[in-house]
Amino acid sequence: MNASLYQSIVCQLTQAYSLYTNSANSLTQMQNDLSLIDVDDSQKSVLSEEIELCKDTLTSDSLSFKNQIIAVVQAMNINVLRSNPDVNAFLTTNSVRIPTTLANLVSALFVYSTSLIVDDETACNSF
Amino acid sequence: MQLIPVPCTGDEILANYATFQSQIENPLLTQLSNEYLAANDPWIIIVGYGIPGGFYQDGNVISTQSRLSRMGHTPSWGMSNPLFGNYAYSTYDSETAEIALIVSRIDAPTLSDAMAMVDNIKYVQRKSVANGLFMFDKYATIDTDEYGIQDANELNYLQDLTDFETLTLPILNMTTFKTTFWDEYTDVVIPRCITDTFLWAWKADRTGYSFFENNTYSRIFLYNADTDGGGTMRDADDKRWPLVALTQGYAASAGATSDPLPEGYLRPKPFFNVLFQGGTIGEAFLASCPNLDWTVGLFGDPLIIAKFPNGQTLQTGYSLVEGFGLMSRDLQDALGYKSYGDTIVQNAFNSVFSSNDVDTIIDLSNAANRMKNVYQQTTNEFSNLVAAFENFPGTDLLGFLTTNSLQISKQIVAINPSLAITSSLLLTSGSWYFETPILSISTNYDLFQFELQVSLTEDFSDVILDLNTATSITGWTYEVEQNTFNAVPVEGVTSSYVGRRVRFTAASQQYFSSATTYYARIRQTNEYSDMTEWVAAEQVIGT
Repeated sequence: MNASLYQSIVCQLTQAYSLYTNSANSLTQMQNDLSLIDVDDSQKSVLSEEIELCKDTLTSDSLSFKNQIIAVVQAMNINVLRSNPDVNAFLTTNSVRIPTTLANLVSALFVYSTSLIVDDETACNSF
Repeated sequence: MQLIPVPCTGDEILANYATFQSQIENPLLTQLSNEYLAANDPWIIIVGYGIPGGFYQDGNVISTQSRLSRMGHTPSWGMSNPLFGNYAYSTYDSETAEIALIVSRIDAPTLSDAMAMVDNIKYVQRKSVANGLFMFDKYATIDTDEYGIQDANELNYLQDLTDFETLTLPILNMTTFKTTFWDEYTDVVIPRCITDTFLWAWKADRTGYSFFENNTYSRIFLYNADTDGGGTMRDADDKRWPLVALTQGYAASAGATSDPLPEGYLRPKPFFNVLFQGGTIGEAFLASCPNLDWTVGLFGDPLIIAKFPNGQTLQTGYSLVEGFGLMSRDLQDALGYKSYGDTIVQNAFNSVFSSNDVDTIIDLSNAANRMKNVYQQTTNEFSNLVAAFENFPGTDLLGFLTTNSLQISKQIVAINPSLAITSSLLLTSGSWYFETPILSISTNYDLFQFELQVSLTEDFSDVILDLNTATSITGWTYEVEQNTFNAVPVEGVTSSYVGRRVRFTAASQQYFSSATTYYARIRQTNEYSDMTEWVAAEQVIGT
């Protein structure tokens, strides 16, 4: 995988993660609004459960987008290691910039060099 | 309770602040610093019979109550009250007391008059039921300048009274007597107080003893917004409102020792918000008095509370129709964000598969497939959610939307296409609105204008919409009560609404393409050109 593709994917994943998080936040707002509606709880229960299920998958479920994004980064790093001894060295040499959000997201799995990490906007302003 | 004597002269208004300090403030501070009182940390002071009611300062008469409220702080004459306009009432505590003490005054022409006031206060305290009329007079002749232009600050006060009348007064569940507009030259007044519990009026400078008929109902609080009602409590013939009110059975009142200007009048909305939620008159006074170290003071019992008639509570919930509309917007946003996120992920994988790099395609194909499975699963869950949402009203959805003039997003319908929604019930594609909390700029009583910029880029390098309420109020509304929006007035939104929301709703020519992300930022200015930082937000079009 070339550095340009690596940069492109980390930025798109970061943007997608932000959008999914916003989606979950909108569902949280929906839950709040639901709780304030003056109808019986029994009328709210089905809708409340469905909101919770959607939120789980977007944010905390084991199959969540977050975990899949981590899996994609892992796959990309394995691919880089096919032809490079060190992922961070490869990224540094090719001036790849890692968005802070993504670096934090994958930090339990892979630690990017501090010098590679910049804020999301700076990392991805051309994507 | 602790009685503290102070060595004052018999003057009601002292010559200057230095005299006030030597006669009242410094002796009081000395007494309060003793071990017993310091340990008890008093929050409430009642200035008793014969103690001066104020002092001259820069041509104004600062009230004793207002200055003592800030005792221990360096004087700042006419300073904005940091406790003013708090809508989210919370009980007065040590932190609040650090900002302002609750100070009231009981004085009268004679000692027996003052003792009669205290006896009456005890009587009202025992009942404290708001069982009488709310006498409300919002009409007065608005001052004009030499060009015939009406005074903007008086108009603002009238607007505040009107907001209170339409939004808060009905919640109190009291029987109300209101004056009606006569003509622009006549200062309309309440003719006579009979069976009254509260009275809120303005401008008519003096009253009379016969104005108050005998009353078996609880007389709790009276306020007439005028320039010098609190100027004397010792001259019965002068017929100033607070003295007459306390003489005629009211437990508490308020008034100014000299002109507080219309900006300094007490505001009824925060006052009754606090009182209705169980606060004391003293707390209500602090929430509704715009200035401290100033002329307006509280008289009578600061600890009295009011038990309002049963039947209503403060509306905090939504009706089914309101709630459905709000949830519809939340859901369309959630779908919009998810749909856009799916598209971006798909584009990322397309770029992998079109790279012609076999190793890369092999290494990422499993992860890509799992990702696809997740967003398919999420799509299924959103489909179930939409079905539950459509069933939520518990009735035929088409009929529910039609009857209540509601529209929903195409995104919602698209995820469950079996539902035959006619086009008239669908939101126009690309419609949007932006809303944000109203922020505080200063501790003054401000009038806010709002500027909104919209861009398709995060750095706002290409602003495609630049809107300002100072030049056009089209599309702009603000939240006057929870979930109730009114048009933004030309002169701006008052700082009484800090914490509530301002909203811009796009007109059709300002719509964007569906599922695009736009960036909006908003800032506020006040009439002194103070300005907030830009507050930015990202929003995807979900309609």
